[in-house]
Amino acid sequence: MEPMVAIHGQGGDEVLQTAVQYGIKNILVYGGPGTRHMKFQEYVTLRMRIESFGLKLAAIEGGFSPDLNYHDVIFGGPKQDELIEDLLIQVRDMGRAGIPIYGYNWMPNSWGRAQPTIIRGGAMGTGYQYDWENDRRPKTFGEDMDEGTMWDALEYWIKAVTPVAEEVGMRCGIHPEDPPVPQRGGVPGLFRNMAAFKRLVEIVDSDYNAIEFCQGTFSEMPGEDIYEMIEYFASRNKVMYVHFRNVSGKAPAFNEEFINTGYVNMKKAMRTYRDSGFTGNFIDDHCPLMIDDTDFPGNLGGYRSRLFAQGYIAGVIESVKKEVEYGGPVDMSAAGKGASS
Amino acid sequence: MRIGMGLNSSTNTETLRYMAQLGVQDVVLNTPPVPVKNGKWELVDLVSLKNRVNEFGLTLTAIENTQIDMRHHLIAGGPRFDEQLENMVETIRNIGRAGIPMYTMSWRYPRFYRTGHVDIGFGAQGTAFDADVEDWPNVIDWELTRERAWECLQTWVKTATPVAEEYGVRLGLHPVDPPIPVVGGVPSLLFNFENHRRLIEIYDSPANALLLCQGSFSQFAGADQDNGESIYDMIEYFVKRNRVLYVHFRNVSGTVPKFNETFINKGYVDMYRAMRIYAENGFDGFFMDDHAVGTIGDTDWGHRARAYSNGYIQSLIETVTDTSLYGAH
Repeated sequence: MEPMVAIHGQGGDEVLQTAVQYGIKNILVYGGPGTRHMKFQEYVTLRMRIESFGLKLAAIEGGFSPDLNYHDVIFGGPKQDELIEDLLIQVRDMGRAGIPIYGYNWMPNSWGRAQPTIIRGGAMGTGYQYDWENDRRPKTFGEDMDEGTMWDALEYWIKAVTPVAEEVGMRCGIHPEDPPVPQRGGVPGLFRNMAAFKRLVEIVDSDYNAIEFCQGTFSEMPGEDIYEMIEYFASRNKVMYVHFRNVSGKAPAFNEEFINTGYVNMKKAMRTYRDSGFTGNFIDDHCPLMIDDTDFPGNLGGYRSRLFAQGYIAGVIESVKKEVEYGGPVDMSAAGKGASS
Repeated sequence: MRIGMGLNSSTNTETLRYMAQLGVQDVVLNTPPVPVKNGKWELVDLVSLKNRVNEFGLTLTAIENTQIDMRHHLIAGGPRFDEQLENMVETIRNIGRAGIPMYTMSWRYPRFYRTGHVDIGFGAQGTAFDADVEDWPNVIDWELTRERAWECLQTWVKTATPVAEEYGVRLGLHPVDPPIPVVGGVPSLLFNFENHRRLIEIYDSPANALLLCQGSFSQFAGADQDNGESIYDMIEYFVKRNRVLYVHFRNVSGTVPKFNETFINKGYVDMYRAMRIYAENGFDGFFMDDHAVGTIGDTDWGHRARAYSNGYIQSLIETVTDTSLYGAH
């Protein structure tokens, strides 16, 4: 279990030097297969640039699903086979270039939020509130898409990509639907609950058919227990890496929070990963927007907000590892007994 | 156990707003911009200072140090000892009247210093001290023996502590940093475990306490040895006796005569083990990040480096005690 940080593009010198100075050795780069079709040599160049800073390119995260050109893969359209062939070339290029992990999603509408929420001290967290009784949003594709057809297309894809992933040694895994709601704009949110992920990992039983475990999104799933999901999937080696962020509640109404002010007990979560034998990495993912912060070339949140989350992640990883030899945290009901005051 | 943060010589808006966003529960102002009037700090200026912090939804828990020229004769036994003693005691009364619960200071003259900076990895910078380079000129033009230096400290503690108790203030002294016996011709006292034990025995009260700069204690000769006087032993000793107001939670590479500061989780001190000792012994104060390391693109004050340290400290407090700092669960 180690910290990881996610960046956009090639990563300027400042962000890579920041990572290495703070001891965050694992880098995730947003990108991967899609219309731009990055080539083998470009992946090698990217990896070597990151390694030249003393860092490791530990994962690439992205997703072709919001890319209109690939929608026949998601919905089983006429160009499905042709597009999958194109995607598998890209997956092979990544794997051969030494990228160990590819995280993607199955969200044709990408991710979504509504009104942001002012949280502590004037900082801002993304928010989601939706009035399901009065759903007036337009249909993304002009009609309701069929969930069964989408599952068929997904299974077809997983059976095609997993052997290729195994061949090139690159684990592939899917990010949950965020927000985890039944449909948005007539498009079913396939990965909105635990049952969907159980179904996913059973399509092909392989470590290379896995999950991009966005703990934030799993925490937003109504009716699910976050610790149970961590335990279930981590103990089966289905978690590639973790988006370690916190939220105030579950869909359809929640907002993002600072890492230790949401409803999820992050210490308990980290202990669950540890006890489930998880050995992967943790990224901060989205961080609150802090006033006066400086832009960070990655996901939501600037340098200050992200480094706060990174400090917290480093501390909680170190603590849950070390507490094992002490038999757990300090028993505060017994603390201070015998003190002179 | 709570999370704090300090600000030096300023009450600037950006930093107070930053503290509010990070959830800082105790604000420490080090040498704040309070005017010195006839050698003292006046009540009206202290109330104004406190209100300035309150405006951000924050709490001013401690003031750390007055301007050095209010107290250098007091510490170093100069000819104006009596006058500064009287003015500092009156300043303590005003701090109490203003409702600020702690006053801490470095019992040393001259004050904190280093001999340089070193690369602590990939261009990050930490302050460094090397006794071979150290070269302070004599800073006082009077004679000061070690015995007289102890007398000054004893007089301060015996005079100020009962006043502090009466006015609801707890006093805490910060160790000398770097912890060496003489600097600039002035004998220093608070550079080892033994002298701190002696300090708290001068007056038996929770108001005669320590600002436990864990960084400075870690720099004491022998603090890195398993000799019964290690950094962990010292923490336990003073916390157990309820003599620690708050903690400067920073890390270092080693001890005098040569050391440098480094990232909070990269020095020789096992910060997790240290945090357990505070918790096990019933510590009820707060932790702050203290000095910031220099990292690329950061502000002079170190907003990025401090955010990292603050997040790290918050996680250690919460994980060691298995509680939430903010009652979140």
